Amino acid sequence: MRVLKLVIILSLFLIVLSGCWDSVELEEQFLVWGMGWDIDEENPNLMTLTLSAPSTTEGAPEPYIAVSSSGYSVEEGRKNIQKQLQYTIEMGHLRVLVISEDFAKQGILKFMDSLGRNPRIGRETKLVVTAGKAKDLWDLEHPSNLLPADYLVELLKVNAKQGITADITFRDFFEAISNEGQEPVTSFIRMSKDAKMFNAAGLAVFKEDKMIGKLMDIEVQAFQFIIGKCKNGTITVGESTKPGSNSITFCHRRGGSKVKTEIINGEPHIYLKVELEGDISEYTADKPTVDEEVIEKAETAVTLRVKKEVEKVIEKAQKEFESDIFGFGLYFKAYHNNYWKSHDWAKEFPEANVHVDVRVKIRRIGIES
Amino acid sequence: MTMVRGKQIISTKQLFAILFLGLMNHGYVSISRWITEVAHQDAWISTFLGGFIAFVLLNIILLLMKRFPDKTFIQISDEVLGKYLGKIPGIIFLIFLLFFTALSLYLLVSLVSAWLLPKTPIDVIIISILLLQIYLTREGIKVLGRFQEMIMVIVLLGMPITFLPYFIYQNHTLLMPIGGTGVVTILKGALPAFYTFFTFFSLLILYPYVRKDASHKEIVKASNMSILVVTILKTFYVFGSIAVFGEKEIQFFLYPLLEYVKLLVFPVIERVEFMMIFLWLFMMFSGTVTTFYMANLTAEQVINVEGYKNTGLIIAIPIYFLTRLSQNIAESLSLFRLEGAVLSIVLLATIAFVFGLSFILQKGGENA
Amino acid sequence: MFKNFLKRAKARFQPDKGLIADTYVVEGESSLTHDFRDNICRLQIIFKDCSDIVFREFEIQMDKQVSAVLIYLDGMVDRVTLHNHVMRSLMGISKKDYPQELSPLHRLNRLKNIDIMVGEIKEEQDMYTLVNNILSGEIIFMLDDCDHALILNGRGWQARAINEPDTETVVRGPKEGFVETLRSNTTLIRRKIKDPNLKLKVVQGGKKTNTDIAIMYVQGICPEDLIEEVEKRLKTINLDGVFESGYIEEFIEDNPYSPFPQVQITERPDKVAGNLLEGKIAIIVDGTPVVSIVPATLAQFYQSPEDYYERTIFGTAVRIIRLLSFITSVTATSLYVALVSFHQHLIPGEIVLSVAETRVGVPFPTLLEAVFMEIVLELVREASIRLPGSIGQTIGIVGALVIGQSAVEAKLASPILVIIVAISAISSYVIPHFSTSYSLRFMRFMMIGAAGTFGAYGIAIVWIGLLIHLCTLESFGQPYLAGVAPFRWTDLKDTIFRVPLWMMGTRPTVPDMKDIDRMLGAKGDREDDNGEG
Repeated sequence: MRVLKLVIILSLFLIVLSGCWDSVELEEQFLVWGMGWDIDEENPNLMTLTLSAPSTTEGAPEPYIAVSSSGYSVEEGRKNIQKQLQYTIEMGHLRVLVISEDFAKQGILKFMDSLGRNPRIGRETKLVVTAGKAKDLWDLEHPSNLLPADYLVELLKVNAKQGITADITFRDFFEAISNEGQEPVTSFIRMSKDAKMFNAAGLAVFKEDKMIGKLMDIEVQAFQFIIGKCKNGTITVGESTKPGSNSITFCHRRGGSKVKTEIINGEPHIYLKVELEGDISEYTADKPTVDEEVIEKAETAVTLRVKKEVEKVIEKAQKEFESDIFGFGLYFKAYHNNYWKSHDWAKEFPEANVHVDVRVKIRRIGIES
Repeated sequence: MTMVRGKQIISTKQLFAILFLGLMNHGYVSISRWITEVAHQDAWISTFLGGFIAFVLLNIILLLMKRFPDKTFIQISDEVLGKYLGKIPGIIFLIFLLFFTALSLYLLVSLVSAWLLPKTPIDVIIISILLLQIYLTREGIKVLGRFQEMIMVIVLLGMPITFLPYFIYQNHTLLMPIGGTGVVTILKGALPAFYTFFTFFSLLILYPYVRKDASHKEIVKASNMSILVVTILKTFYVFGSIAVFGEKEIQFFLYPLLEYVKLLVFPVIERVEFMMIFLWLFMMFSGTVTTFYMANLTAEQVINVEGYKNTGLIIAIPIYFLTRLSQNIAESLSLFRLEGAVLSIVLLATIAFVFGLSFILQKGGENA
Repeated sequence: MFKNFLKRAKARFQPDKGLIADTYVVEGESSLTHDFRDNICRLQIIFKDCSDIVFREFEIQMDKQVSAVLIYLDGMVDRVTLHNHVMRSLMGISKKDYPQELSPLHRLNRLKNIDIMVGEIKEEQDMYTLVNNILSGEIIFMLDDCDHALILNGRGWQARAINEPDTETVVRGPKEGFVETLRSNTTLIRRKIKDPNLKLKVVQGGKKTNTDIAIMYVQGICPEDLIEEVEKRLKTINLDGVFESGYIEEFIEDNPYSPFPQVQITERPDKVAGNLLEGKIAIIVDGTPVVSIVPATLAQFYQSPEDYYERTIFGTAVRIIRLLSFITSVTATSLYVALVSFHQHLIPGEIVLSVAETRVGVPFPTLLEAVFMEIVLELVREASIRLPGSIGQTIGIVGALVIGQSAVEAKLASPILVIIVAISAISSYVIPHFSTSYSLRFMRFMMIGAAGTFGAYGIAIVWIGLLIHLCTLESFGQPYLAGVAPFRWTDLKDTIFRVPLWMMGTRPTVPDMKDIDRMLGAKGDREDDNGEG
């Protein structure tokens, strides 16, 4: 018995003494904050992977480091970057993945695989497609000296909160791409003219895992209305800034969308109902008094505007992209399973009849009357 | 009574805890993947059905155990089949337990390896867990009961966090159409679901250890409650993960529940998984230690050395090698199926045989 | 564990084979004889070279002039009693009080019954008892030609005044604490529980010291077999000296190798009284203000009498804070090690950069860094605790400020680690019971080691091991974690929570307790299920 105890104690010691297989010190790590994917400039068959990390050394000339390398896959690119680094690359803090438009058009799912497999990467990582090169993004000199990745993430978060754009995370992307009846979208950004800031108001539209187009500005908002994310945001209906003309800004505080589907004569019909509720936040008339009449007028104007935009976006998705980014297919799968099984939704979607019904309710009129 | 190191008995509450953790542990992190693979979006119905099958079988076992209130299954088979022939069911049971323990241990170890310590040799993880299990089982079922009871309290306190992702991200259209996969598919899915409830057989061993002043009714209540609670929880987890991910996406994950909890992001703390990791480790450890203890006890009773302190050490050796056998998770899964199919049938047949014989021979019960 | 105890007891316990006799008796029988001179002589031989033993010989005018002697230990008898009540009354006897002749024994009886004005008088014949009594401060009175002696209670010596114990101060509540005298201590408890059921038994411990050890319990609440068991274990103590309750603790506890204290100690009478009412037994050792209470449960170490004196919400809040501090104290540093060297992805994004920045330039791996800082802290603590007040404080400040500050500046440790180490150190002192912080610190080092090897997994397995260990512990047959494992709803009211006193209708569960109700008619809310019989 005593021998056995000794063996146990010794083996415990051995475990502890020979341990630390997995330990890597924090300061020896290249904490990847952002990642970029491009098509390689020299060899279009390769991808260029860019990793951006904050620099932890005190008094470093740059607050962040970006390293690029090419390879056939993310893992190979990572290996090639590792060749240049004295640190271990740690992906656990990846906050944003930026993909260049050209690259996204080739399909991204197979490259996403390595990120999906890594249990350390959170599901809240933002997924962004950029108009230019993803590689250049990390050299951006933002006036506030923020890390580009941090800047990007905060930008998307803040704008998504205000309904201007949608911040798409890995979670959303994987869910949309894996479930039948829905196509994914990602955030889309453009560099501003002075190359110091981004414009976040955009969405990249995918068909399966290939990017096929984008929605910009008001279209993004309309997209948000359709999928029911309309907790916040403003819509301005106006004519001109000249005297005599006016504009009204409608600020919606709550709202949602409802989708009903029906099969009539073997044809899919989608009844989309968008409901918005909010108040007037700006009224630029020569006589800025808001009365019942103005509210009524405003409601009609906003309703028309929203309806127009929504219909435009749906048509764009149907005719231009032929991609069901709204997830209407899910409803057909759920409620009309037989139809779903006998038809190929990808082919049916462009032909589906969408009936849009928009209701706008102006509840309050601000503190002025 | 106070002074003497009490007899090795457990209270009904502890029985509930042991059954709860044992049932919960098996497939806790992967159940939604295993079952959606077969039953797609209706996996949660299958889970419920699987729990129901287990519930029925559990009650049959309870009825049978009532006839021999102070004997374990091994002792019963000894009595019914005679001294030598009676060893055979015990040995079958032991082999089954060894496999079962090794398998649940492997699921735990592979999870630790994949999520926490990818580079650490798997042997080290297995040994460290086995050592703890030996330590616990040395002290007997009384300490086991206390330990499980405490872990259950901790687990129940932490569990509500795992419900949150459902309430935040649920999308019920992903669950539609309910029953759309057809009755046959749902029933097919109920089979792997039933396997995850397989630890209900621990009553075969635990029954006589529940304190004597607890009536049969209380034992029935405790065990039925445990299986009911676990069925509800597992059904909820499968339901919730389908509602959050959709059945197709679940197939990408080895451990859907972990991914499911990973969705939770709190400000400042950011990743809640970390707290959950402790909870899982606690729970999975206490789940596996029950089967380990039972293997221990069965081995002791088969060779009639009950109370020998070092059985755990001896049992740990085959379990270690069996655990090492399953080299990767995919293999382990098919092994799980194989074992589920073959061994459970053999086991159930053995149990049925022993009890059937006891009825025929009129042994046990009030009239014996 | 109980088995272990039996084993040790068997090995150490030997029945008393007249050890006193071996030492004292020169030859002959051990009882007094009729030879007055011989008796004195024998005692003088026994007390040879004991200059503080006084043999005061004098004559008493009875029916005839009788020689008498008073023997006492100078300094341990009360002079007022000795002079005014013993000497004066004996020497004031005149012949006319004793007209007729008496036998020696009658004389002694008359003196005892009529003349000596002392509260407690015993007659004794046995030499060894007399010797013991002299040593414990009694006055021995012997008369010529008499084989009996009187033991007069005249104990009285310089004792410390009753004041508030330093280790367990409360803001609200009684400010009295135990002192070194056994009798004062038992009185302090008696004054709190005025009930004939409060029983007091005294046993002797220590071959040389002959220390009185008192067992106090409330009959009817405390299970009978628990009392027997405590007595049995106390009798196994086979030491030559018992100076402090710590001496007997080691002999009577169930698991000597566990880092957790299994006997609760206190200097507060109110705490003892409260525990007695919960069916515990207090063991009071003469010569120390520290009283032991058995059986102990872990929850008790996290309770302070003040919890009951303050409002119930704060009582509960403080309990929860203590529970959290238990977890923090054991886990905080190891969590840091695990996060920084294993699970960097789990550190919140805002914090990870600042941690990484502070780590740059530190030459040690995090594990060593943490161990180094913990050891420094232990050094500071150990150094400051032994030094007298003001110097101790200086050391504390020097240690905390200077070492911490310069370690950070010299890049030997990262400032965040220093903060975490400090937090875990503070947390370990939140617990009212001082000895518990030793076990916490011991666990902390194990935890850090495991975290440095296996990260979070290591922390989890050490916690599991710790919980298993706590489950295996038993104190006098009571589970150490009573209330939590085995779990009892009714015990929650006074473990994690502190419900209002009017809701505490029943005493905490102790197996076999008869009188479970604290209040009249509170019966009924107690579960029958006592956990495990």
